[in-house]
Amino acid sequence: MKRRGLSIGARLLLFSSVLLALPWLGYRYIEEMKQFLLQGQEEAQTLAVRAVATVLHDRPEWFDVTESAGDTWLAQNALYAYPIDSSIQIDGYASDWGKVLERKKHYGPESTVYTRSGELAGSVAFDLVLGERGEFIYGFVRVTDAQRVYRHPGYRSLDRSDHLRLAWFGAAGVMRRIVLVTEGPGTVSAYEVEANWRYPTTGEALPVRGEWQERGRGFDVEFRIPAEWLRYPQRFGVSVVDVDDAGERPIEAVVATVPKAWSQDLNRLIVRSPELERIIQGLGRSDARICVVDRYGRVRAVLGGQGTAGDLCADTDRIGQELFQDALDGRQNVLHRHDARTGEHLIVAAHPIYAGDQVMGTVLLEKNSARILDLQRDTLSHAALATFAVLMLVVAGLLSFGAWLAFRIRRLKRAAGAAIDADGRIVQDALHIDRAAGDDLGDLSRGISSLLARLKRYIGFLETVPRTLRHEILNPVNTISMTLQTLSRRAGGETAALVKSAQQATRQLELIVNSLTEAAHIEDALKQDAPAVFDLAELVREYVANSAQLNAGANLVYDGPPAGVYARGSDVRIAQLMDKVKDNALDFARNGSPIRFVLEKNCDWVNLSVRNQGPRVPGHVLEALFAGMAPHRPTTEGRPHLGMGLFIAHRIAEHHGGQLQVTNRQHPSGVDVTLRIPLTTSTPNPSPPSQSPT
Amino acid sequence: MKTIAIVEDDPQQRAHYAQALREQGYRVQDFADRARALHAFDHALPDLAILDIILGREIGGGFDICRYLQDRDAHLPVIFLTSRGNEIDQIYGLQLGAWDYQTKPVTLAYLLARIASLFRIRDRKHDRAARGAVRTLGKLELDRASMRVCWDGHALELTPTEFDLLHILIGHANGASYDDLARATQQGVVENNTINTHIVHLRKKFKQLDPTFDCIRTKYGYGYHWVCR
Repeated sequence: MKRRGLSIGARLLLFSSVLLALPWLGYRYIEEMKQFLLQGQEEAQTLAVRAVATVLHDRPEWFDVTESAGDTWLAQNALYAYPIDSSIQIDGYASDWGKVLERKKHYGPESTVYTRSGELAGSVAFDLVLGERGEFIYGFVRVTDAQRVYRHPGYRSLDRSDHLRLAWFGAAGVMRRIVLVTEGPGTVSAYEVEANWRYPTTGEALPVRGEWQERGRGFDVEFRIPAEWLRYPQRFGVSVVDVDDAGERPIEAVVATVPKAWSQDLNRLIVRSPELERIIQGLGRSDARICVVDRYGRVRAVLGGQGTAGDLCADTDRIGQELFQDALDGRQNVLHRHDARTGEHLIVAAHPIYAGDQVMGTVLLEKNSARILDLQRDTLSHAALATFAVLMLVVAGLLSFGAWLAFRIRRLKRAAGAAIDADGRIVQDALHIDRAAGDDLGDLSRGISSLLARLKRYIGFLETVPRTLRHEILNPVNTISMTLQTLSRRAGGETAALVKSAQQATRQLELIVNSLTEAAHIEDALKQDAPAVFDLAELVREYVANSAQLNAGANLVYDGPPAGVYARGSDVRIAQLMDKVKDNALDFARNGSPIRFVLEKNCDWVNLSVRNQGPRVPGHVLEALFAGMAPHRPTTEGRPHLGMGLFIAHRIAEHHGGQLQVTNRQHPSGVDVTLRIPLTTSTPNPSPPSQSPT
Repeated sequence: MKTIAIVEDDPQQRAHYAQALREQGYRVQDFADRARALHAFDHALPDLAILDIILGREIGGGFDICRYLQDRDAHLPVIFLTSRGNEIDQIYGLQLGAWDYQTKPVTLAYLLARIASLFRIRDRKHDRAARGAVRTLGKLELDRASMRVCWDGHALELTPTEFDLLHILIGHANGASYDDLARATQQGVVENNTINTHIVHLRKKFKQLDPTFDCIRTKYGYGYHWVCR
């Protein structure tokens, strides 16, 4: 039977494929977990950054909050002292400044505050970079000056040569001035001077060191001054004064970090605040980097971050606007940054620092999420491995279970199929497969067994019916028969004729019962036959010849080899089969038309066709022809026809491992009844028919 | 006067048998079941017994009686009369020592003839000297009167039906047709198959004496032929 749906195995496979969603679900879960952890970290960072900001609230002294008209300009043009990692050798060479040197700022004509000629395009320009390390503020000035003029010992005034002017506001807001001047390349002399920048105020040595080196069309000056001097209010200015005429020595030009309009003011000096750093020291963590920036984004304090590769506030005076703009607007903010250099994912929390209502700056706290991501990666790989292993186990388990089930079902199906043979006879009234199994299949097996047993009982009942019937019918028939015999012995004349007619009827009754019982007993009878090899050709040839002799009116023709077609079975049964088929053919054959017995070998089979000419068998009859009790021919000459003949013939054919087929033929119209049984290669026992007795 | 016992559960059939036999001058004892029959046989054995196999509720009641009778007298002729045409029953009955086996409906005339002949055979067996005309055909010797058959000098135990079949076979030089052979069974309706079965038994009995026996040839579609002439 063709299966219409999917097999159990395929269904199991289909359903178990849903399990493939598990890894995805696991991944989703881990993602959520990561988000949760990141969120937790964000919140922790936000709390920490708020704590830092709270500490720094209302400490304007650490930030520049001077409110004046030029505040913005000054703030924007502040000098920034970059933190320097390595020690600086004051030698006039820039080699030890490292990358900080790249941040030098150029002061050219636009920064010129004075020229003797009045033209702005002066003869001098300079680059300045400031650094901060430990107790000192370092400075490196690279001056472009075609005409170097060194100090002449003959002049007392300090402004008669090229020199540098440093200015800052000291305590109580008094501006202090230092001139760095030299008589040649080498160590410079530093003098604190009066407001006219000409004469030293004191003769005492200042803790300021400087070195002057010539360089192509100009010179470099490297210097340092104590950071303490500049601590408050952190105003600082640098000017370069150019003298070109070595004779008259007038000042040709002055280029300053503060333009002329603000000559009474000084640039703001931005230095990372030690106080700030001290305060946030206690809050610092090695795995986080805390950075305090002022409202212009300049880094005022950096702490921690040794454990991170993050470069927040590492080497810049201005950090990315996006990091603190929201904080400056008064909102705390969390940003995620991706460090392209290290590939790290960084979380930056920002919180504004207030002085009163005003935002003074921002605290940034940066921490990388490497731990979370590592955790996620580890969890993911563990979960993936575990899920895969479990999945494989489950799928393998399901598959093997499904295969086992399918195997058992197939086995049960085979066993159930084998319990009933092709003709629907029960050959086994109990299944042994899964008989003891406790599950549904065991139930099914036991159910089928009980079904078979009940069916067998019923069939057994049906099979005994003809015997019982025979017994029950023949007894009264016997009585009738004997009564009639007694009657016929005593009666005469007309009564004798009547008795004879009654006897004829009982004979017919007997025929019917015999016909029925013959069919009922055919199975048992066939089983008792001892099979032997016989010559089918000889049998059929002789059968046709003898039958032709017996049925004088019939035209029986044998068409086949005279001998040598061997089959295995019972020759008498084959003859019995031919009786049935021949009777059938005789009943249907058109008068005088030949009935041909055609014997043909076909590979390992032999076909015996009995062909008559006459009416064809209607289709619906053809199907039920071998079922028995299907009379399909008119009752002739008083013989009963129960349709048992072809049933018996069919059973005999099957018993010989062959089959019987009835087919309609067109030209000439008629019916072929074909017996097909296997040939046998062995020869019959030596018993030549012509053997004469000795 | 010879006594014939009839064990038959159907009263009408029993009455018919009894009447027919009494008309022939036999003394008849008729019994409806096994118990009554055996009870009577304890006192005196009949000369011949006609047994139905199914006796009321006892499916093999006739077999039991036959076994009892054969134990008492191995030469007591027994005829089974039954509607059970099953070949197994037939073989079983004959193995028990039954002399003959007739399926219903029986012809009364034939039954009477068969009884007479059984008595005659029994008498002849008792009286070995009395011998009828013996027909000899090759190795085969056939004594019609005493129903004795010898093959190659050895006696062959045949039932009356088998003896009649053999007699008809050798009587037809060109082979006996099924119709000829059917006459031997003297039954109303005889299927070819019944004759086939008898012939199979006949061949078997010959082959037990002589494994090379092959004198009965099947004439397919016609009958059988005794070829050893």
